[in-house]
Amino acid sequence: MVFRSALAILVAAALSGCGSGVDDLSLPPTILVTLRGHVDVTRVQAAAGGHPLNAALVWGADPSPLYQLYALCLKYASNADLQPACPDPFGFVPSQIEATTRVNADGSFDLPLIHLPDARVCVGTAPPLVAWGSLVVAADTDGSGTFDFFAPRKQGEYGRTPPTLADRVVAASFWSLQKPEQRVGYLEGTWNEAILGLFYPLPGCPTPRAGFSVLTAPGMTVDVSQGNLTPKPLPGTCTDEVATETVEATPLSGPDGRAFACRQVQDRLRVSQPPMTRPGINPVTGKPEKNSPEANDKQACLDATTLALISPGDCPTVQLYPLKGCGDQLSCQTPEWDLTKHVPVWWPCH
Amino acid sequence: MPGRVASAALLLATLVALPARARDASARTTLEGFVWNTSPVALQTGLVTGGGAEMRRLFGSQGLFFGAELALGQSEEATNDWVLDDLDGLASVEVGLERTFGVGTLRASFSLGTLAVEQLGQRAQFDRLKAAGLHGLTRNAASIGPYAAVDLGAAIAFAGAWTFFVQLGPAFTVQKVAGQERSRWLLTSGLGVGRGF
Repeated sequence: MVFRSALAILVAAALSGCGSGVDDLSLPPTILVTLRGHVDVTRVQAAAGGHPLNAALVWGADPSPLYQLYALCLKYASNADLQPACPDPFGFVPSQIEATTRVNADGSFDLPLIHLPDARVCVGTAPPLVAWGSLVVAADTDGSGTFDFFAPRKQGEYGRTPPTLADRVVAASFWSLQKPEQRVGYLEGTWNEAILGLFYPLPGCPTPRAGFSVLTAPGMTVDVSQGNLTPKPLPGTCTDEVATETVEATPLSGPDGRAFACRQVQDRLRVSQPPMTRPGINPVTGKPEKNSPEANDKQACLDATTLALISPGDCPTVQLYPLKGCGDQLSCQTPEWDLTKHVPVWWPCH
Repeated sequence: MPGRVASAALLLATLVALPARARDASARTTLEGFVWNTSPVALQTGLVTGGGAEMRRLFGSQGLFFGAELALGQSEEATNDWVLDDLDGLASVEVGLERTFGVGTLRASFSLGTLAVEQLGQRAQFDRLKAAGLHGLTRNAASIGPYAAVDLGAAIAFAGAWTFFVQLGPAFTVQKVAGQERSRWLLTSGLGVGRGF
């Protein structure tokens, strides 16, 4: 009797498939948050030159790889040849492009996020971790249909060759610590000022909320001249809103937009021993060598013992030749080379 | 984990069987425990691993038997966005024939039953997302559908009433996968021990 009942139940279940249904490996990701952005289209039309506008969330990088270049630019602030290669030390350094979309005709755009920021754009222990992002609008000047800071490198180009800009950055919600900004924040865990506070600091602002949020800040200033490096907030109000608040991308001038994109190139200063023959020049013929990136560089004597070769192009890079120094370091206690008493024949600085 | 438990049970059963009495050819009822493997219903690249139990009873003298089987298994696969953990449960009844050759037995059976799949989904980077206070990070789903299988098996007697067996065969089920009723062909296998009474 029991066996028959069990059999009846099994047969009934077998014949009447039910359940909500399971998923296979094509299961799409859920959207973690949808960021809403806006740009004043009338103010960026001229810069866009009729090209369609793309928007992206761009997470910010740790700017420390640029510190040596900042220091060099500060040391030789009066050198006009060097300054075009100098990034804004208070500038947002773009890194990972997380989500992109086309900007609507009215300037609005939505960016659904399905992934957390990569570890390479987060600062902190795990947790707390923080990442800061900027909503960036760029004109699709390369016609690729996608948001690209730089064009792909051509065959034969190598590391020293400066990259060529692709799309034209025309607006960003966060581009300099010294300007009013709206940034996208991602905080994992509980805010810890000692660990997280120096990464794109927000002086005078409330503690960011956990998860994704939108922070509005008036910007900050640092009075370097008096040796006090403590950041001070500019007049204005800081707010920390939920991530669905609309973020306004501020129109940028052409040079500011170019400088914004170029800060993504962090390998912009190289320090090496001066060669015995002039870089980029064939020692036999005395003519520029073909395919040598140094052949077209601008030569700038920073002082009698320091030569800089500054590459032309969208994002100038600096090749520094100190007569005494260490590889890839601006200063060192024990120099790896000292040519001050054996100056190369071609050395142009006196 | 269920696979490890089943393997341990199999080992234990084998050790218990060693001192058992001589083979009992008059046994009419057999209880079996086995490690169960089958291809997954929804997670294409995985493998369901688990264990099961079966009771069979001989009717007449021609080797005809009827039986009932329960099996549980688990498989896990991950994409960039999800970790999907499927728990499969099988309940079936079977009819079959067996022939004994000395200490060996060959058998063929046809099973009909139901296969239930419970799926637990968890977003990749779950701990980070949770630490960020985000929600909607898990999902549960289930599907129950008919199940039919043909199994071919071989058993060898040892230590009296105990047998060691392997079985293999195709199975067919219909389940609701990704929002649609889908028929699936599966390959199932079993490896275990049995005892006659």
